[in-house]
Order: sequence, then structure tokens, then C-alpha cells
Amino acid sequence: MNMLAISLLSFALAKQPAADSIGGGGEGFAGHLKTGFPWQEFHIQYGWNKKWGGMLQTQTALFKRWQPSMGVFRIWHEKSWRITGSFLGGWLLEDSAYPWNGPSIEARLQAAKPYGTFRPWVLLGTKHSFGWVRTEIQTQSGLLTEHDAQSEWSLTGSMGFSAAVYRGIEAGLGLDFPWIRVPSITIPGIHLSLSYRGAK
Amino acid sequence: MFFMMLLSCSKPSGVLYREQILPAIDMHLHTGQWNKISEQSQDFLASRFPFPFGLTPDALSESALVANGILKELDKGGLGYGFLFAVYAPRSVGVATNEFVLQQVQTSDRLYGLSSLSVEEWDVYKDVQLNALEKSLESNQMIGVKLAHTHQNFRMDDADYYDIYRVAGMAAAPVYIHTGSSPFPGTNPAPPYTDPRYLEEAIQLYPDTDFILGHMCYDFINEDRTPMQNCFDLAEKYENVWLEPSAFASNRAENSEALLQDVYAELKERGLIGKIIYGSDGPQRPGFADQYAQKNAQAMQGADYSIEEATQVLSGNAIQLFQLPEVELP
Repeated sequence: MNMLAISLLSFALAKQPAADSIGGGGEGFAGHLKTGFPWQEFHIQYGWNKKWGGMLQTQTALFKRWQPSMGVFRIWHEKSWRITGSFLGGWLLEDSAYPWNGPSIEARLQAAKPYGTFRPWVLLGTKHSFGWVRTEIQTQSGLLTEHDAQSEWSLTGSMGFSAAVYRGIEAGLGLDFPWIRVPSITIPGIHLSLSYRGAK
Repeated sequence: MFFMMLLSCSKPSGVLYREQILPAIDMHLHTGQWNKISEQSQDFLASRFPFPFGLTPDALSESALVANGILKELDKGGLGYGFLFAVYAPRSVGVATNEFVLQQVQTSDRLYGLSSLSVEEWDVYKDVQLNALEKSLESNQMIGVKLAHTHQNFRMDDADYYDIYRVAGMAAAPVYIHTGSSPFPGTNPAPPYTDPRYLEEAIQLYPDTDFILGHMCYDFINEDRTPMQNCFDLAEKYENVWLEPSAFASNRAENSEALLQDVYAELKERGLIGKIIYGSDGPQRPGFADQYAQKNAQAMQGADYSIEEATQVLSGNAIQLFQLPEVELP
């Protein structure tokens, strides 16, 4: 058995569930990069103990809509599946027909298999953003500019799997089913992920 | 060259109606360039795209609004011919020049164009614009004139503009007129710009000019069908007035289907089937031209149109009015 196989096996059989940024929760350091259409995401986290931790992440859609945020997570259930809840606060910046610049908050629930070489996961969340939107209206008597306080509600939904590649490194595939600016229509997305799970 | 041959050789499959395939023409399609649309209308259009396409609407629109993209949409809907509109509305939806439209329609024998003209500073440029319109209509593939008083901000009863109808009549080019209010920013929703009763004098003065009342007077701002009666009355009263049912039933709501069926039922009852020329106001979004044609076919079926009557609406009336060759079915 070569070194790679040994590494994979030892990681898969580890008794102590590792930190897990893709599936959520865990003690120690973890991080991931997701890339696909239309979403990209960079995320790092650190679990202070077996339940609580903090995270930083930035997410973008087509590099036109950016959402940097930071938050805390807590593991609520830890058996063959781990269930983690998290709360994030951040900012939403969008350069499009809906230019946006304002704070946002998000609540998430993640479920994942914490052990094994093949680990499915699912994430559900709700995001609320607030901002001042400038609207220019061409009237018969000239250009009218209005500033309106607006809020945006979006739902997050994604699922996928991660598979061990080498020691704490995993690769994965995921599908994204967010609902941006409910009730507008949103096209589903797909992404590849590369993640690091710092086993403690 | 091979690509051009492929374009012109592609055959439409027709629209299914009561288990028969009927030839169909979409007389209302838009072409253009994203950067020629006003910023407000860009925002309006982008807001209608599903996420994330609204983030980069220019890339999506450019491919959908040129001849190749429009032919694909015609093929999806089994539509034989498509008419592309020139637009000169810098205050609202922007500009698609006669030259650009001609360039697009020349790539296929399934595409025709409707010319238009700018009415900005009309007192200064009237003759220049009318000459340009006349010249544009010399092309065999530019077969009509498109006007939108609400977008171009000139009154339907302003006699200073009547020469447009005279030029169109002399060229045997029917004039398509946007009627009813428009949801686009920068339009003028006042009745003299949207209500074709203000056009009645021109209709009477130019009996050799055919007027197609686009959208059948539907009020898009208030989503109100009441003004439609004005369009129906004019079509009933004047031989040179036609009706076009585009866009007003384009949303996915169930009541849009009921509205369309009611409209077709009323037009049948009033003996106006021979005055309806089908158009969608596409391409809007991928598959829209197909969906709208099917929706109209279903509405006609619901209103008990015979196969002959549905054929008249979908292609026969347009062939007669614009003197087009029959649509070939495979």
C-alpha cells in the first residue's frame, strides 16, 4: 500500500471528526474554494472548541455581485451526521441593473456526514440585505432622482459531496439552488470545490 | 457563405392547432445593439432577466437580438417569417436603425424589416427623415413602418407628422403603431400618445395607408384591458385598420390566458378575425416567441376558431396585407 492510500485511509477512519468548512462546523482550521457558474466562494473558519467557531467568507456571482461576510457557527448535533447552524453579518455590493451597496445578514443550517472518504452535504439559508437604491426617472419635465431604502430577501440552497484526495484535502462537486431577490427567477448553479480540513 | 445558406435553407415546422400544423408569421420582433438602448431601459430589461443573467445582460442580449439568434427563436416556435422593427426612441427604449435592421434581414429570406424614423427636432429635420424613410422602404425586405408615439413623444393627432402616413401609403408599407401605455421608462402615457382615437383623423385622411394597432390598446401600466375597446371599434369602423395581439398576455399568470381567450372571442363575435395579424413582441427571453405563439393558438382554440380562422390570424392576414409569399411547411 503506498503512502497516498495510507493517508486516505487514515484520514477516512479518523475517530475525531475534523473541522469541515464544506459541511460545516468542527474544531480547528478549515477552508475551501468553490468555483463554478455563476457562484464563486472563498471561506475560512476556525473552531474554538467542539461546538463553537468563527468564519470569514466572500462570495460572488459572475464577479458582479459580491457578498463578504463574517460570522459564528455552532454544532447542534454530532453523530453519523453533523448539523451546524451559523449566523453571518456582512455587506452586499452589486454592480448591475440593481446596483446595491448595503449591509446584509444571513442564517444557515448545514448537514453533512463528518466521517468517510465520500461525504454528502446540504446547506439551507436565508439572506436579508438592506440598502439605499438610487433611481433615475426620465419624466417629461426632466430627470427625477429618488433614493429609496430597500431590502432584499434571498434564499440559499445547495447540496453536493466532498471526497478525500490527500490527507486533509478534499475535492467536491455541488449544485446551487439559491433564490435571489424572491420572487424573481433564479437559474440553478454548479460548482467544483477544493477544501482543507484541518483534523485536530 | 455556407452558414448563410444554412440560414436561408432552414424550414419552419409550423404551429400545432387542432392536430394540424399551420403556417405562422411573427410580425413583431426586436433586434438591436445593447449599447444603443437607453440606460434606464437597459436596467428595465436587465431586471426582467432571471438571475444571474441580469448581472451581464449585454452579453446575453447581443446574441439574442441579432438575425441568427432570432432565427433560432423562430425555429423553436415553428414560425415561418419574422418581422424585425427599426426603432428611433432615444428618450425611452433606444435606437435600432433602419440600416442595422436591413443588415439583419438580408441574412435570411425568412426575415423582413419595418423601417422607422427619428422625430426629434421634427421642425428642422422633417424632410431629411422622410427622405430617409422613403429610401429605406425601397428595399424589398423593408415592408412597413414602425411608430410608437408614446416612446417617441409625438401626438397621434399632430398634423405635422401626417406626412409619415402619406409616405408609407405611397410605398404600400403598412404602418405599425404602438397603442396603449408602455411599461418602459421615458414613455409618455397621456391619451394623445397612446389612444388611437387621436389617430382617427389620419386614418380617415389616408385611406390607402394601412394602420396596424399594436398591442390592441392594452394599458400595460395599469394592466387594464378597458382601452382595448377603442382599438376594436376603429378596426370595425375602418377598412384600413388592423389589430395585433403582442405582449399583453406575455406574463405567466393564469389570467393572461383567460384575457387572451376573451379577446379572441370578442374579435370573432365582432367579425374582426380578418383584421388580426399575429405578433409576439419577442424575443424578450429564450423560448418566448414559441410560448407566445402556442398561447395564442390555445386561446383561439378556446374561443372556437376554425382551422381556417386560426390560419388567417397566424399567417393569412399578414401575407395578404404585406403581399408576402406563402409560408412553406415541410
